Amino acid sequence: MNLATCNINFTKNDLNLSLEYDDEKPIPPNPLKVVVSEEQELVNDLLKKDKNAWKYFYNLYAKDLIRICGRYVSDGEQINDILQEGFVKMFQSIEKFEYRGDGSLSAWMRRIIINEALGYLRTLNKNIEESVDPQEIPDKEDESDEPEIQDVPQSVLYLMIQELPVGYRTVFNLYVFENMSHKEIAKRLGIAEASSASQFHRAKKILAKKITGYKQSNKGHYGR
Amino acid sequence: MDDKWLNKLREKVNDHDPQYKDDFWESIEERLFPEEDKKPVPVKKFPVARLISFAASIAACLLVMFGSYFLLKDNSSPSGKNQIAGAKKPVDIPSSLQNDGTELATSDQNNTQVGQTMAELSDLERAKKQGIAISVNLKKQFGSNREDADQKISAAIPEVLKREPLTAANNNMFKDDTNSANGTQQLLKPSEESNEIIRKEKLLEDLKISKKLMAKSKKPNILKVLGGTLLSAGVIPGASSVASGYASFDNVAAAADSSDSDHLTDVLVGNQNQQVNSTIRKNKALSFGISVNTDISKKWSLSSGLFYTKLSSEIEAGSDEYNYSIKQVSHYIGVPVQLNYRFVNKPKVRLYVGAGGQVDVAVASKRTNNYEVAGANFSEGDPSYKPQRLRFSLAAAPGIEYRFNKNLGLYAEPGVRYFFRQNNSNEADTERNPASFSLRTGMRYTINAKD
Repeated sequence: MNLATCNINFTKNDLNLSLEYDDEKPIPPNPLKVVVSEEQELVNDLLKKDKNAWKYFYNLYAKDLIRICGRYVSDGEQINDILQEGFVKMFQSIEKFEYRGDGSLSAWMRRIIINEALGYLRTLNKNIEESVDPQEIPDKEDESDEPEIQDVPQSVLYLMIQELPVGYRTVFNLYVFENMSHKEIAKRLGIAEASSASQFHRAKKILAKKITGYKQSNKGHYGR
Repeated sequence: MDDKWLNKLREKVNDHDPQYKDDFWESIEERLFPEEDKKPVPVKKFPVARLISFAASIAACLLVMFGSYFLLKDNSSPSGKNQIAGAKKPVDIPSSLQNDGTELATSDQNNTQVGQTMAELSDLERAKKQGIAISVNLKKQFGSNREDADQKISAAIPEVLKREPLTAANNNMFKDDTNSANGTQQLLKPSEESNEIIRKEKLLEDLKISKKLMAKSKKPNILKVLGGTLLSAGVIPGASSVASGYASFDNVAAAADSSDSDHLTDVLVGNQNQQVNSTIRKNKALSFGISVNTDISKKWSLSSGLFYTKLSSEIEAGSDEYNYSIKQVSHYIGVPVQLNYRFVNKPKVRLYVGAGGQVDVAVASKRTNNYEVAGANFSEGDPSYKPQRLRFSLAAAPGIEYRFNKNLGLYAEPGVRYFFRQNNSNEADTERNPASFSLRTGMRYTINAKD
């Protein structure tokens, strides 16, 4: 794991920062909260196409990126493809990135990876507006019936999301994790806004049913 | 988001650390910092640059394809035939000359325009040199009576030797040659005749006497000399130089040394009053084999393998009743080394252009001489034929590969192949035009496919 060690050298009128990438030291627990100057300095090194800087950049955000990709595609090879293409895009367009404060780099990186994931799904001819087995959808809709997720491990929840039909899963992820509105989702996916809302609703119901079923059947096929 | 449980779910899942065995950085690093040129991927890859790259690839393919086409066009005339008389296109024979066989002279008319082309000059010079040999040989044959021999020799020397000298240097060379051949100087003096009709008539007489001489002696050495001279001089139709071809007409003269020289004599004599055609076929170099490919990068790859190649050619010359043909087939086993640039790299299809070299070893060969004399066919193998044992060639071709999976595919490369000459070879295929169309096809195994 890497860590950016910040050497601060004071000159008369200037503050000169330089990063040294050290493989021995761990990455901070929350890499998204890298100090501003450090993230800015990282951007400068990325602009130089420095190999070590890019490797550090990858390691810094690898978990987040893999987690994001894993919500849209579950196969490791597909995740690999998305990450590759995403990083090539970042590498080619890093000059266009404008640092606007803490978190802007990770937000920029996140947008690119999500775009790549959606593009990848399109290349697989995955129909976002797909139908689903009626058995999967609960008969009655009770908005007040919220499943309790406290006792469900996060890996199981993650797996349940991955198991959603691709269209539902995509809309669900964009709505829940990317905080996009149905209007934005509809525009991004090229579907009707009502369709986005409908698919999200169904995804939510399926997920709630899975969670309820998990608790009632004592872990079910998730094995935990 | 109204649903509280969804907020909880987001917070909980956001910290999840999915575990994958793959180290994704390795493949990312390979894309960002390819090792083959130590350069990172282009910073700005504009669509224009991609278009230029694509257009350049297409242009390279078209260049190879058109190159192949024009080489093919040169190697075999569109009709598959060359009008050998005068080595030019068919000539309409004047009616005044048709009854006495003067179409030969008429056909030769194209060659009698002194100084027209360098090729003609070359033929003339060669004819002069060979003319000395003719006179010497004929003198040996008919030397007992000098006057009689001189008369016969004079008649036997083709008219082309009696033309006006083209240049002073040419004239000097001519005189030097004649000084070395006692008794022939008179024959080799530059003629003052400029009237084309008279020249044609004299040529006809020459040929008639030539025919008598050949019919009388039928000795291989005379036949060879006469045949070679007349071939070179373009006097005998069907024996003049051919602008393009793969099998050499020298093979015909060489065949006179074999036991079937009588048949060749019959063909040559029988065609004196005939309109003759030649057909030259050089079958394209076809290679089949197994290719092993290693991807250097996503764009570049190096391939080699083991290939069987068949080369065959055929020449036919003469008239309907009197003609001869030579057929030869050679079989090679070869190893190519080729560098390929891939411009389309899909999971199922790859398109690329490649260039490289190949060395082939001859494993079997055969040449057959066939004669048709007044409808009767004679055929015999030519044991003297030995193809070039080692052949070196360069090839360039666009290629397409259909991939069954990541490593195995079927491919075809239609392109151009240039065979290097070897002086001591009597291989006919490449004597005159060493470049030709080729098709290489087979199975390909890719060791480390990089998609």
